[in-house]
Amino acid sequence: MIRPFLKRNPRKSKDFLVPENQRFSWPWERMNNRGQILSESTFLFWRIFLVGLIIFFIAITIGATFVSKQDVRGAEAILLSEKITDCIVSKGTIKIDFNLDNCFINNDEYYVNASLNSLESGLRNEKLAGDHNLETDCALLEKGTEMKEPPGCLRQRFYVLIDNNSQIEKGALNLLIGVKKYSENIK
Amino acid sequence: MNKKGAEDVLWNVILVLVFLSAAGLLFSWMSSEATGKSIKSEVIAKQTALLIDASENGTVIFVSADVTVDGNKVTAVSENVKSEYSFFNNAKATAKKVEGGTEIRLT
Repeated sequence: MIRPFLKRNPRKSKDFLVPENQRFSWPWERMNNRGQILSESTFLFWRIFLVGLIIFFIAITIGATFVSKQDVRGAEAILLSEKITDCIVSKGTIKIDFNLDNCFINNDEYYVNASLNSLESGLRNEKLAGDHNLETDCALLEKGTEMKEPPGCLRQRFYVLIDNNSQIEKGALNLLIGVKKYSENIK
Repeated sequence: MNKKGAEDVLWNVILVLVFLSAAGLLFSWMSSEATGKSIKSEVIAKQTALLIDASENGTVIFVSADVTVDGNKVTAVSENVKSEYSFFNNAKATAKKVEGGTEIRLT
């Protein structure tokens, strides 16, 4: 005998034709008492939770290995150092009153500290460009201080010939290059 | 199999499909990370910017990728991922699409 099922949606005509014992029902619809529903749903959520946990830990492990940005600031600092030395050296010497103008696109992403010291006459000339805060950041980084966003730093020393008003002297060029570009290079 | 058994099987099949699709998503993400697809555009942009930095005026660079230069920024697009990186070279860089890649001219 076909017993019409009226509980779900009486407006749907096909529901009237489906016997109650033949219609599809979700497991929780077939459960009679509250304890059964609770235990079944607890088991279901436990299974989903376990699978979710496994996926989460796999994602964390893989993520730590692969999801990291390529940090090119070290290479960039070396290239900038070369660019500056090429820019300020003329005919094998550096003029004592050198400047960094037009050597590179100067913006707040970089910091350059170039100091020229004469080892003979003791003359000194220092030129700074870019974000001066990087001077401190680089010093802290060199001391081994842990930083959330460390800059890329390069310190170099070149022994050079200084053109001091047509008088050639031996000297040293100390360069400190700092590169920020945190968002592009740090995860 | 009775009606209740069939419904249980269907319910389990649905669960298995959900878990399999979750595993599939995880696998596709792992695969794209492991093969470097996700960082390809970033690497192209950065390497191109470094090439421009290392070059002198008059240099012509050929990059076998879709690259554009706007001001002092290189933009690379690969696998529908766009990446940008700036360069410090004060030479004027212009990019032109050529067969098989992009030609960058420094003047």
